[in-house]
Amino acid sequence: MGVETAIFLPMNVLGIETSCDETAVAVVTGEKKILAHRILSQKEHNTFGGVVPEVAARAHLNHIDTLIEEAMAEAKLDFKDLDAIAVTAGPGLIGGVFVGVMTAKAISAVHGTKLVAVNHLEGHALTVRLTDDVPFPYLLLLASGGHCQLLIVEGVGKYKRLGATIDDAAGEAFDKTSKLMGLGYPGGPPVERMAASCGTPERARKKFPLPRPLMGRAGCDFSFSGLKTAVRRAVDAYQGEIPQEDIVDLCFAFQDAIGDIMADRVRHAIDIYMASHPAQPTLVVAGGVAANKALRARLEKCAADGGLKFSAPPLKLCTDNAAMIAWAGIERLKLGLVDTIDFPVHARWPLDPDAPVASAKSEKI
Amino acid sequence: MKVLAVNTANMVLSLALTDGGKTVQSFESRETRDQGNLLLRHVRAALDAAGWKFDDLGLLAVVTGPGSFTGIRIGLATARALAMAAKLPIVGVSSFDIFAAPEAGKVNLIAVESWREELYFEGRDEKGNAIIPPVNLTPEDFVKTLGKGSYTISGDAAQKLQAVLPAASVSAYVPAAGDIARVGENIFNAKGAARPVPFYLRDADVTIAKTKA
Repeated sequence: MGVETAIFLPMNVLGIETSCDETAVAVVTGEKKILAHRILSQKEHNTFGGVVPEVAARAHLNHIDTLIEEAMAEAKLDFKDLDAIAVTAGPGLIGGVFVGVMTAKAISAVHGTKLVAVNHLEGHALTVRLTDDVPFPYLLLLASGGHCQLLIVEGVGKYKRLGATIDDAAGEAFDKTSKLMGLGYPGGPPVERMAASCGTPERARKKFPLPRPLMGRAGCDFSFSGLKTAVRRAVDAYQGEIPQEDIVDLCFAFQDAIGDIMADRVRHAIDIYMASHPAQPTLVVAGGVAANKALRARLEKCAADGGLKFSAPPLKLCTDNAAMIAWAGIERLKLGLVDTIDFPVHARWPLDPDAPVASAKSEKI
Repeated sequence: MKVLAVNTANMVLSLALTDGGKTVQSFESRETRDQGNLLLRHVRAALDAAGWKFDDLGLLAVVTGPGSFTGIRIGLATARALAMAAKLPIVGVSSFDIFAAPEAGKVNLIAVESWREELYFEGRDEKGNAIIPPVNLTPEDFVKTLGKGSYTISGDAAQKLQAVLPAASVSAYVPAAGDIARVGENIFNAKGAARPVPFYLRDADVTIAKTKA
């Protein structure tokens, strides 16, 4: 058995995450202790049914310094006790990213603290190594409100993308579905709750025969926009208010379709992954969508059927948080990867820059 | 008192170190594409050139807007975090404060660039009192709100206001980075330090985000 040398230095790393609608700060140690964990989920977007970039950026600025003070107090540390500051430098809403990055750089400028510019997606990708000691390599499904992709994680900074969404992210489809039925934003939790309360799955499937775009097709790309449109048509068919039992059934039918699409795509990815990595059979699921218990169970079964171990972060570390950013920073620090104080921010920052851009066109066979 | 002043709100990257009101180091650039990436490098370079440490400073001053939304946040996030990390007093200075150029016997109309049709305006008397409160209007609409009077226009959008108010004169005053520090020091002496808050003067545009790696 190969030995992965685990060097857990007594490091204290401050993590900062401001790339979407969560203002988050955490302090994590090289021994994998989370000393402080603060998340402020912005409520300002709920009325819009989606994240408004300028509103998000304003809210990040209002709270970031206070959250950091609270987190440092909770960790009982002074800035001079920090070995590094890890901050999300992209991808994401750039106005918000700047708030976190400038804050990190300023603290670093005062105390000479090392800086690590973290890719938000790498934060999600490496979280299971903070919580479950998962060794490299592994197959990763990263599904959230902004992203949906399948990757082989070979190591820190080493990713091979097998497929990605050609239109919407899975979480976006949840948000849209929720908005259409007036269930609020973010859409994941209410749609999941409704779907879970459905006692008549067969009736739901029959009443709402929703499409499964790309299912059965070759490759590992995803498509959710056709499903989103079908949900809209189903909702539009009602004159006025939708009966509660139909909301429940439609949520179930929608989540069922998402589950079918994901299971199909993940099965293809497992085949590809296992052909090249038969000795490291692990499937990791990360991102906000991994917090959905029904989908998680579905994917766990995919892994078991394919002979893979399954790993996913605990629910509170699936959605955006700063512990994952601090941890990704620690992983990079251990490899000597630090950034200078003039590091740039990136609105777009793919984990696998060599992967072709996923598009509807490239999917045509 | 040693002061560090920073302005990224008005499509500039300017910073200055002053000591007793005298500019010791300054940096000014209209190249703002990478202002966020470069700001702290310039701050550190200025401190190094002056032979100062953050501990030597007695005050931080930052321009709070109105101006570029992203620029406002770059300056405020930076200055607030510097103040927090170095335990320094901090004051906010508005764009109107830095562009104000009172002239005897005239009302000072301060026009601040927004890179949109509507600009930011404020009117001050000789003593610096805001007699026309801050507004976000087109120059045409702003002029309609004015009574008869004698006006001097200042600010980085002065020409745009003068185009619709030809009777007014345009002040030659262009603040240097060191002036921001001096204005900040005056505010600090008059009112003390306070966590600066962003001065957007215009609501957020509502468009729903779509992010992709």
